[in-house]
Amino acid sequence: MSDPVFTPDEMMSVVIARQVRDGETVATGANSPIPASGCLLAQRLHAPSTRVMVLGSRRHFPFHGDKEFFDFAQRGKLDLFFLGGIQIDARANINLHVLGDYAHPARRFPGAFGSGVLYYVAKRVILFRTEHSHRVFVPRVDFVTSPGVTPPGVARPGGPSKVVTPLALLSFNRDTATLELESVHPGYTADEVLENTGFPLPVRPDVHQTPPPTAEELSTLRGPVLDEIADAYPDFVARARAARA
Amino acid sequence: MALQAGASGVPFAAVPGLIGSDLMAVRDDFRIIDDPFAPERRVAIAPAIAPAFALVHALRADPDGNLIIPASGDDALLIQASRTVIATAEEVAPDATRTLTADERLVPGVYVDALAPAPQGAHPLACQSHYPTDAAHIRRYLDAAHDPQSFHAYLDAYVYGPADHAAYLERVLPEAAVV
Repeated sequence: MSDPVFTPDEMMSVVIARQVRDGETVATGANSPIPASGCLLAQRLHAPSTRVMVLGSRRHFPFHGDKEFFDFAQRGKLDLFFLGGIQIDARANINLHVLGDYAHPARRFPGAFGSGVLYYVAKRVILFRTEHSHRVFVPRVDFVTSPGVTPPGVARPGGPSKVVTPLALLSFNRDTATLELESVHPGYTADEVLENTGFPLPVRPDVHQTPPPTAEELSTLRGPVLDEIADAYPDFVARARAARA
Repeated sequence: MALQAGASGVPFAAVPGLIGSDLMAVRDDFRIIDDPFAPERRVAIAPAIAPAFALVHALRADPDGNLIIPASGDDALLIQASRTVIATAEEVAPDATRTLTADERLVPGVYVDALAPAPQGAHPLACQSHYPTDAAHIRRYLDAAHDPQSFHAYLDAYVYGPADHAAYLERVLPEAAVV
């Protein structure tokens, strides 16, 4: 980028914020400072009646424990949730468990942490990943921690909606059960996104450049929103502030 | 869900989702049944978890085993599900459980089998309204856990070495203070 007036993390937070609809009940899970800042940014701008729950925050978490949060989500009360993926594939399957064979993995990761449930029950799930590369976006994940689509006869009120990376916004096409390129962030081209994706990524006919963060989005994100997530994500906030210093 | 089944004394829990995940293939204790009340629908089940022991650290306790724990968290569910509960507390005193703040809750002593006072007993983790996580110590553990030799050195220094809890605190607290 020739004019780095915002960081990749800030672009991702802003893209996430724009996906939040006013009045929704949204939650962010473990190790999710970018979604948390995006949701709180939306609440301060276009979605003032949105209710935001941040796991790991005392200030923004109303429940008596994670179990109560899962009970709430399983009853269909959660409109929007966020998950990551060590690997994400063309069909929006996510892998949070292992690289390689499950019994003899090359690398082992912390595991599902509820994604085997929340990916089904949250009405919309946005996947996020701060790396857009062939090792993340693979043709087929090594282990399906949670699937993008579900066999018939299984209750699935929710599922994948979007994928947010430092390069682009992808959307999940429910008819074809595949990810597609929706918009390309400033500083990148569609070809660069396709080259860094490890499977053939269909391009939506209305593909466009992601509008850059506005001055209002950036000032709100850097000021009050960072203050709000500092109790849950002190290291992330310190890094974000250092990046601008 | 499985802990809740353990807490309720029922044999298994129906769990939303899961079907379609590779978890169903690698966990032979996760099963799929036809919902008996909606036979066209399939549902995952998991056996109840009823731990033999739960080890919990309370903010305060009284000699009858009544505990005050943080209101936010899943310790109360763990206590309900476990067959034997061993508790430690920052403070044990006859009047310690008489008043609660909004971010605390009471666990009745009928759940608790053993109790010991242990100031700083959550270290290196945080204890609500008492002390924060000792991040420097956790980084020390993470570094040590990279290879067996340094891991065993860590265990010797902090787990096997100190004669008791007071000796452990004498070792770790000065280290925390200098960071």
